[in-house]
Amino acid sequence: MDSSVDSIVMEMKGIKGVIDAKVICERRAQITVSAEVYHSVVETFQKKGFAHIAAMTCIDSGENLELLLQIGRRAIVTVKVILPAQTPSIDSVSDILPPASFHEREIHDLFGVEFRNCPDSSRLMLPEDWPKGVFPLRKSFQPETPAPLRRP
Amino acid sequence: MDVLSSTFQLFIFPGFLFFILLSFLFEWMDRKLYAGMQRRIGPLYTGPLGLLQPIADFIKLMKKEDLTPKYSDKKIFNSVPLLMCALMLTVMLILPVAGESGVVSFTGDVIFAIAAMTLFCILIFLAGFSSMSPYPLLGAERAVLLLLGFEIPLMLSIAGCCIASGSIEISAIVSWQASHGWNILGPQLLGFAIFLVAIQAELERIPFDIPDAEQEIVAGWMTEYSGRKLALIRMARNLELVFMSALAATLYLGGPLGLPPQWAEGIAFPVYFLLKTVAILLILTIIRGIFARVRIDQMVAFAWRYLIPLSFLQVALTLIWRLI
Amino acid sequence: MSSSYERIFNLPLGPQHPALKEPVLLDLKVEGEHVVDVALDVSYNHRGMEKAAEYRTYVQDLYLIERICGICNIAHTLSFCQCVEGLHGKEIPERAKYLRVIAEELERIQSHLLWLGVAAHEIGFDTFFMYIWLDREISLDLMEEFAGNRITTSYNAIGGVKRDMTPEVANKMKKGMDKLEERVKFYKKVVLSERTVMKRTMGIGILRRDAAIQLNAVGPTLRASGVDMDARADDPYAAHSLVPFKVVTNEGCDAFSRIIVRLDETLESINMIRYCIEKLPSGPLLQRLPRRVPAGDFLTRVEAPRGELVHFLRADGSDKPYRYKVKTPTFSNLAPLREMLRSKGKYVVNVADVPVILASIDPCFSCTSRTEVVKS
Repeated sequence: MDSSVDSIVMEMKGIKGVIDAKVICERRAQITVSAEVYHSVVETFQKKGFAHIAAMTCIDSGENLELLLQIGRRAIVTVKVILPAQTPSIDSVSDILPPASFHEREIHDLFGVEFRNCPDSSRLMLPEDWPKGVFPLRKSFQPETPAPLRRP
Repeated sequence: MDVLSSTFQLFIFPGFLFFILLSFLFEWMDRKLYAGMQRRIGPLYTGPLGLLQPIADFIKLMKKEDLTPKYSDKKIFNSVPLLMCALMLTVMLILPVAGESGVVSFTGDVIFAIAAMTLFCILIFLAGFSSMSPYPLLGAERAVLLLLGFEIPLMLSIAGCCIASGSIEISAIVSWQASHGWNILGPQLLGFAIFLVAIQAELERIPFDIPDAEQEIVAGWMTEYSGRKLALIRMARNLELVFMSALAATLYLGGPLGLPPQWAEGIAFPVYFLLKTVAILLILTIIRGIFARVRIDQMVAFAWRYLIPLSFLQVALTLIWRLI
Repeated sequence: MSSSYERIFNLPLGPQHPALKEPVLLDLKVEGEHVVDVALDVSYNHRGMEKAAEYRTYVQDLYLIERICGICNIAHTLSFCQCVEGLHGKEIPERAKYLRVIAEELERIQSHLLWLGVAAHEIGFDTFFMYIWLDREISLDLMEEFAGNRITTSYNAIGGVKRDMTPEVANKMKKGMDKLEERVKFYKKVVLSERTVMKRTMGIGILRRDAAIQLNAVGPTLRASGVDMDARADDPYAAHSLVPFKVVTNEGCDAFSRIIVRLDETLESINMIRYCIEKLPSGPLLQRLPRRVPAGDFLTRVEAPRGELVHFLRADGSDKPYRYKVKTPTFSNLAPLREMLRSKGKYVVNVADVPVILASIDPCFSCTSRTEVVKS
């Protein structure tokens, strides 16, 4: 079900849109892709048997938002996409991996990444009266000066 | 003199005060035994061995803030606790405590008892329904479902007793048992078992405390009650416990009559009454400690598939036995 | 779908409810006594852990991460320490690895016993609940002797563990394990023979094997559907590659099989602790590591009592983490939970079953919603 990480990395290197593919250590690999082929790459992995989402992380690295989808059961493959911080928008993978909708909702709440075709974009982690457009986990948000919360 | 003695009987012994104190005592015994079965201690600090704990709880609740939900039907909501207490205290007057008959005795008082039990369930439904809140509504609905399941076996098992003694008056049943032996010996044993199962559903105790299932619907039909109304409801439920246990003791175990020394009749009879009623309470508490709660549909299925046919069987057996 | 007689009735279970140990809103859509759909809201315990972790040094973060959840605290600190040690690229001493396994398995025993008592309480079986929690005190006392505290032990440190196991503690642990094994076997017998328990949990909360895999269930919820996935076996860490154990599965797919899986896992943990005490190598406990962590990404997986726990760390070479992400097992179990709460066809979910189903996935919403910003 899980092929070894080395063979996967070799395979991925040849595909168009894949920027980088490397083995990090035993049972860990990282594939960096562009936003357009993200959906199809994830679909390829899902067909190979990597259907278990270990985590979906988003990192605010200055001008970019890095989206990492970590999937796999024995070996974990990280599919990394770099999105512009101003208008982060990417296809949702919840049609191939249904539980991704929960992870994507959390990232949408906390970082503001827009997932196209996501079945449910309601708030997951933040309360209903949290102001729109304020994304707590971005580096620009400093807890010492919180946005004013309106009392209902 | 007569008026004085009637007043004493009505209010003190064996009337209201006696039954209210007995209900507190029974709650204490129930809690202590239940705790002992669970390797706990139960009430300990108030009074010797925690005897005054139920009274302390009652007083505490009377002092608490009494909230009424905004959208509830206030007239019904406020009057139900009082009605429950009044109903239970009234119906307990028919129980024989110190002799053959209770404070009140008339032909058909067994039917009055059955009607009172049904009326209590209807009051539960009104309590839940008038609260206008999702949890009480569900609790009220479940209480009515319970009623559907258990009213018939209850009535039929009592009917068995009446058939055996040929009368629907409690004092006649008790005196019949004095001369013919207790009702529990004979075909009424099955009726006794059915009666015990059915009253646990009436009293909403585990395994049948579905309308009051804490984990699912908060406190069920009692959810919105607080303060004084809750104190009265709890007292009404304790009184119901005393009433049912005493009814079981009266109908099946011969009531307060026994073999006293002639001169001590006035004291011995109430003692026998207490002993027999406490015995029933112990059985109920032990059952409470060893079972989990059943679900409403499972309980209704159980009632209609097993209890009702068995209770019909029991009535048939009694009729046959009577004819022989 | 609805005629004039059927109506969907909204029953909100939560956020404050006696059935729940932590706040969560299960907005049930009920038809009569059957639940047809549910909307989950898990944001109530949101505390800003991930953001707060970025403002504290690694040593301070150890204590912050530990407080994500009280009863899985060893699992959280274990994965945090493994992330940091992984980025340093250093191996921790052998003795520390075995001690970490002992701590982790002791926590698993204590957590499963807690859960079993709570599950018994949810079905109304208070006597069982009281008995189990009294026996759980044995494991908590052992934890106190061994790790220093009953809950929130702060046992793991970056580079190893903090306290050693003396021979007296090892003896007490062995005696305690014997007693616990006897009690857990008794409870298993009770569960398998008590009819009211079986009636309330069999056929409840069914999660088919393919649905479990597709919806990414983790932990005992997944293993009770017959899938043998366990992070200790798939992705071994600490001394797990050296300690033999069996991945416990059950084909039942319902709440009852989850009870059996957790009881069997408790027995497995008891055996693992015994093995580790026997084979404990001597050596140092802690390897001192520098304060600044080299830049890089690292992801670890740990089998917490509730399932697979994932920690991800991005370090930038300073002494504070750049980004720390925690994916908890209950978060993964939310999608299966929603699926289990929907009545479909012949599978009906009663309102009375909802607390049982919720309890059977062993929810820990403190873990799930740990991110909300804390106003200073």
